[in-house]
Amino acid sequence: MVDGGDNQELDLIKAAVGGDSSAFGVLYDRYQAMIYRFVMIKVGRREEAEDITHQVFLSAWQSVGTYRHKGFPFSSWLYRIARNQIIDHYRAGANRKGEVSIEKTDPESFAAAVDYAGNVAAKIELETVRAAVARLKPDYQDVIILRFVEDMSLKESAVALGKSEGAVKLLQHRAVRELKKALAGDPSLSFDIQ
Amino acid sequence: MKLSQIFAQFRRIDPDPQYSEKSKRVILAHPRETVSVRGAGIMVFLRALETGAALVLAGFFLLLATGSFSRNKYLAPVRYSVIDPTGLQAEAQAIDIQIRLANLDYSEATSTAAQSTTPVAGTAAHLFSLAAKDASSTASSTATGIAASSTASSTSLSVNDALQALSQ
Amino acid sequence: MDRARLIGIAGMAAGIACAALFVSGIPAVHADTAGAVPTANADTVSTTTPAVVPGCGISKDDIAKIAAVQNDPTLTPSEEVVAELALRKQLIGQVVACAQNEIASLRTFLGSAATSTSAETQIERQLQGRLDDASNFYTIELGKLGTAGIAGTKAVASDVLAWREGTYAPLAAQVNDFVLWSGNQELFATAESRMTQTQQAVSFLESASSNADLQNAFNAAYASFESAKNANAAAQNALQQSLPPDQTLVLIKQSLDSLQSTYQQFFSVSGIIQKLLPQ
Repeated sequence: MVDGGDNQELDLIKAAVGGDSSAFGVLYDRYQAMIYRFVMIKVGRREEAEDITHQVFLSAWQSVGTYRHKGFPFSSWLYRIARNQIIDHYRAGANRKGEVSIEKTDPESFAAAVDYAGNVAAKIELETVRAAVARLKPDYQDVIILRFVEDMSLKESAVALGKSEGAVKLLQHRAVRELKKALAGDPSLSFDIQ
Repeated sequence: MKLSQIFAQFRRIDPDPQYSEKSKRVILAHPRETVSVRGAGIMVFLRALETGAALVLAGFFLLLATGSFSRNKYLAPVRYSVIDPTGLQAEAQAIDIQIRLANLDYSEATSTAAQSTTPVAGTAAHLFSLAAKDASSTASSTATGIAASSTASSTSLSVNDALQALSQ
Repeated sequence: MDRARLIGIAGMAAGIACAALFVSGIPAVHADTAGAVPTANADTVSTTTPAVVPGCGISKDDIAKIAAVQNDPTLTPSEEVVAELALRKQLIGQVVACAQNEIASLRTFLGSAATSTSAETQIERQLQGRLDDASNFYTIELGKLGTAGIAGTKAVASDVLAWREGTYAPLAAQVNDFVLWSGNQELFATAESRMTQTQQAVSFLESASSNADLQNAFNAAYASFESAKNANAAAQNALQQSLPPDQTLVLIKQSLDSLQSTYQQFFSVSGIIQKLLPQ
């Protein structure tokens, strides 16, 4: 992840805040995949992930004028927008279709998104883990994704989640515990995270 | 498999490049919100609220929704372009034009109609003429109108008719 | 920002904002939360005026000259054959030149399509390539006239006619489909922005007070738009695979009809929101 203190990024952010669309475009190129991953792990469907990611960056572009750089990565701000968009999305989805079940995922969509040359068993393993993560409480999902998928530091995760480092540490501990419980029945998985 | 390895696989999730391209294009074509504030004092006040401008908007809107604001020409309510009839109308009209274009019977392109010596080109011109005239809100043209601009007489044969005659 | 928190302190902000407003006399923030929607009008429909194609200039009278030559009592049989052959070659040459002009117009028409994605560019290139092939076909057929007798010229005319009906006509239709479809993409992009803003506005309104009519209208708009996008994607697929043009056109029309329905629902949403706001 790009260090928020990176001068080039600061220049880009300043330019984007000032309305420079090509500067925002560069930021888009840098962070879009990351946000998409975040969303995709949670929603599990490519189409929904695309819609939500689009809305994240649209909102970001529309409100970047109010962004104030405080020494943390620009991605942290984007993650906050993404979290809110996912909440809105599920809320709207619940209103539209009744109970929205996160079980309604298309394994092919997710497996295709991962795009790896694994065998069928490996694909199933991946989807099992993804679905288990997606069944966690949203705060737990967030910390799992930011800490273990995106390799964010405790500090960066805290900013992205709008919490203190201590709170994130506790969340992580609980999230991993819950994930272990959810995946306990899978003998092929070994837990090497904590 | 180790969980850390699985999470490493998750890191390989990437969006479809075509989707990314299109999404970016749409987003960057979108005009930015304008936040106009008169007076540095107001700005300081807003910034002092931890939740910033969005919070004020929330307050505004709650009052508006409950009808608690009195009418005041300076109190421009939060405007939503979603209720802007002019914009909606223009967009809807553009769709209507495309529907009309789609409903043109361009099988005329291969017919033996004698009204245009180059029926395919005539249809192409017709498509654009229709669009152009709709843009200026006048009556749409007809194929004969387009053909009238050509130098061919009304007894000119189409390409297919001429070939038909020459094959016998 | 946490939504519950936002709503929870919105009341406080409302009171403070009110006071600030009446003190300042102006709204503290003037923002179109949804952002301006790029307005689409007929000018955004991809249009270009193709080059005016001069008439082929072959009339029924010209064809009748063949019969006149055949029945001319002043010509010997061999003179008759020579004259008829020359006339036929000249006329076919004129017709093929005309057909080549058609291709040129079609190329210009195709070039007017606004292509922005690599998929769209690929389809356009594919169609341009097939127009190149069409032009080459005419050139090859014209080349056969050199050593052809009268029967040979009739065969060339017949072959070209059959090819036009079986190959060229579908190609022209596919070009039409593609130009039409590419013109629709701007409308879809605009509708996408409109949908995003509508969704934001509806979410915002719903957080203040639930409204079943608004929800239903929005849901209907969303459903129509999904149908429109699906048909649009299917049309792109049909173009990429060079499926029969009438099938593609059906999909394009479906996408436009659904888009039209979407906008009807947008109007409904707009009307409902207007009623929710004080006059």
